[in-house]
Amino acid sequence: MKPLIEVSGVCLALGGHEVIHSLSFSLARGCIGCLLGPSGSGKTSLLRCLAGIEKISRGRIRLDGEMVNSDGLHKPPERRNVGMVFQDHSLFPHMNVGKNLEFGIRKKSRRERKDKVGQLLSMIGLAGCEKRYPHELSGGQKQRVALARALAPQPKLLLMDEPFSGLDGGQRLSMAEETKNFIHAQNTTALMVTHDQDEAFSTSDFMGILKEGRLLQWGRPYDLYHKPASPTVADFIGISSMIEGRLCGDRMVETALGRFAVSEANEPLAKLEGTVKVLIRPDDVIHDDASPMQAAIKAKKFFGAEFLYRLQLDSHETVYCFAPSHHNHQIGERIGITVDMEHLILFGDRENK
Amino acid sequence: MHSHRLLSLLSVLAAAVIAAPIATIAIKLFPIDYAVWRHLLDTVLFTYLSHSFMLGFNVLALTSLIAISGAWLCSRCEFPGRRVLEWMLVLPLAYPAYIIAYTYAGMLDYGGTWLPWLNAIGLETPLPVRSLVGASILFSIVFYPYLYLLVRVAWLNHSTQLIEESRVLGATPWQSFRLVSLPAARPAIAVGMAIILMETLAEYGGAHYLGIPTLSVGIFRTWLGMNNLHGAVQLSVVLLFIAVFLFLIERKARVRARYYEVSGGQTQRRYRLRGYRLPLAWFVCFTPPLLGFIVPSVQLLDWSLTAAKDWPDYWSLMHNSLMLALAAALFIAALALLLSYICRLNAADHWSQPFIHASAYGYAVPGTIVVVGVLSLSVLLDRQLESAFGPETSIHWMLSGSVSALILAYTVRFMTLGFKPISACLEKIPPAMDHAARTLAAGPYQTLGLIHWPLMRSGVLSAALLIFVEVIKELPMTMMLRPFNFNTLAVGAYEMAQEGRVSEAALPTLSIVVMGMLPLFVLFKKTRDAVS
Repeated sequence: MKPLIEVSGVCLALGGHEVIHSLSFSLARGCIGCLLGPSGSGKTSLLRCLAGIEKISRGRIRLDGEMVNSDGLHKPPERRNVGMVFQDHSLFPHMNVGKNLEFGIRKKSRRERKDKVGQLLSMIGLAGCEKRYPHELSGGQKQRVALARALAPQPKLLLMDEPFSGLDGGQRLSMAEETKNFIHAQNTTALMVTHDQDEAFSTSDFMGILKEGRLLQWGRPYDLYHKPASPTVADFIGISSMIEGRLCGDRMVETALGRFAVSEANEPLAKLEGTVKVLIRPDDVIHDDASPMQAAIKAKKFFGAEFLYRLQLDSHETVYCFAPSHHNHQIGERIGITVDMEHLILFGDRENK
Repeated sequence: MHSHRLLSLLSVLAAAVIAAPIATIAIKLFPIDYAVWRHLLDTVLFTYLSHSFMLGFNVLALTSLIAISGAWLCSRCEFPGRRVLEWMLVLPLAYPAYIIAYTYAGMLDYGGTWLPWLNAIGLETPLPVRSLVGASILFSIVFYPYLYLLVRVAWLNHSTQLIEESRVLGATPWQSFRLVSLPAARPAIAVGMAIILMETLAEYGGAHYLGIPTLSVGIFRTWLGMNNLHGAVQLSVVLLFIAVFLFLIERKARVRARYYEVSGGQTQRRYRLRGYRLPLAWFVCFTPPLLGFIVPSVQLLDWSLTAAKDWPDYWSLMHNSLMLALAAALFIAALALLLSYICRLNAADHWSQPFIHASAYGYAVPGTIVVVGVLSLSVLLDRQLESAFGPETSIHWMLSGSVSALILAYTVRFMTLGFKPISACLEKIPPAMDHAARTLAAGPYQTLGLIHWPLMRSGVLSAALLIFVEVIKELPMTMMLRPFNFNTLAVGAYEMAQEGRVSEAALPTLSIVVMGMLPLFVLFKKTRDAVS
């Protein structure tokens, strides 16, 4: 089956300044994709390119097999059948909820519009709220209405720009979960943009990391976490630290935490000798009072069920460790640790990205 | 966003047409005709310049006195009747200077209706209305509200805390005014004074009626009296130069005024006036609207009720004025809406924007110059057409003496009044709103109709109202460019007044004043909303 979004070599210049550099990825039909990146990384601009709001300077965009952007071709947003949920929701302030939802299907018959609005409102749990105006809704309700409005014309692609950024912590994750269910129920494809990892992990089937207008990696969330393509990606997702390793030539790496076997993914590095960087995640380091290997606690952060300890090894390198919260140690104390590495992630010494 | 090349081109074309009359004057300056300049220097230039400057200086001094004291009392003090007086101080804005000129002349000059009363109190000769002093006073009592409004808002927005602080540090109320409040309002005062000076220099009707040979009067005198359009163009350049200079000062001061604004959320604490200060405050706040509004209105009302009236003529004046003003207001507002929407659509590509914005600065150009510009343009085009297609072709009939020339002149001058508020309305609508509509399958024009128009309707209509009223009040452009035998309220009343039939002119004059009051309600509500 053809992918629904195909982006190849897309560049975007805004005000004479290139904000997206030769970016390519594709997303299969029925999936939720998520672009993760710090603010200013170009993720919103990319969404706007897909919607047709921005005109790309180079590259091609194909939606559902149809070319919408290529040399000299730019399909305007109103002819793309793409829905978009905006960061501030952008509900039309002079129209009530019902009229907002009807806007995208205004060419349908009265009967059809009424049915669709009723159906959407009950789906988002706001049945009977047609007559209310946007300023009378709470943040979460606005977000739901914006989502329903975008879904009303049954777009082949739904774009969401930081859709949950206006909501508070608890509401945010439940709304993300809810949204994921709506999208799957509507059998549509969606691409969202966020700077929040939790949101990205809890909603997406595919994920991309954007930095300074470049797509660093695109893949399943699990792979991005466990097989990051570069230290930058590793650094951006989850908590991690790098320690130095020495390749011994026998497919083994020696580090301050012990000797580890080089995994298949790092085969090209295996035969080399010299120093590499080894990625250590907090879940690789296990607190064990009985272990002979010890590290000093430099900082700690309480998460309720767990403590996150920042540890200094005898080599003065830093690693992180999650420990159950009944293991309450003081800063400066030395605690025993063991290492449980499922697969080793190595980066060449000169690799910076 | 989608680029609209055709629209951009159209907007630049529209901007070019609007700029053409002024550009023609600039072009006509070259090659510099030394003979004409020598002649002007030897004869009239000094007279015109000196009278313009003396008038300007007097008006600035008088208006500052009236406006600053009024604004202080109404924004910083509390006394019985303040709320009413605060509003009344704006009323003279409804009076164009030429109306105040002939109304007062009709009362106080030779044959004036007030002469018996003046004689009764021992004045044997009429007051010197037709003099530099008379003109200065008359212009001042209608121009001061520009300054009053700006300074009042500046002080309403000014933090009370600073004043209290200065008092705690040992300053008397008067010292605190001089050292804290006055400096805080200085940029607003500069803006207001620049506007008043521009209005004074640009005023044609009032100065002409009172016989003050200012530059504006001189331009028409050179053109009509001496039949020397070329000389008029040269004089226009001088006036244009001064206008541009004042405009730049105003712009600069406006930027600073914004910077001086202290958004104080605290409640205003005002000085409570008691004892002898109370009648003094009443006197200061009541005299300007008394002279600038109440007295002339009562007199005009009296004349309207008693003087003989030519009703059919009045209705035809009214009809012409309303039609012309309506056509101009709708045309300019629609053009302004279109141009500001094109600016929005093309937010990404900059090339058409400077043209559009430049076309919206015509308000700084005096009406006399616009007249000379439109006429020079039509002469210039005629010559081009003649040399290209032979002597029979002429664009003259299209431009001079037709409604289209008038509308072009109004557009040059009043585009600012449409473009500024309408693009401000449009800017208040976040661009994401457009994008939301676009992704919901609405094209750019459908978006304008379904989203923008409902959200900005009242803003566009109040801009159109302001243009409507300005056209009703406008004199020099209408008088010089109107079609043959086409009279409006302003032109009709002015001509009657010039023929010494001031009391017959009262009814059309009063009609202009009543319509002139409409935007005051909008304006006063807006400044009150902006403050509270």
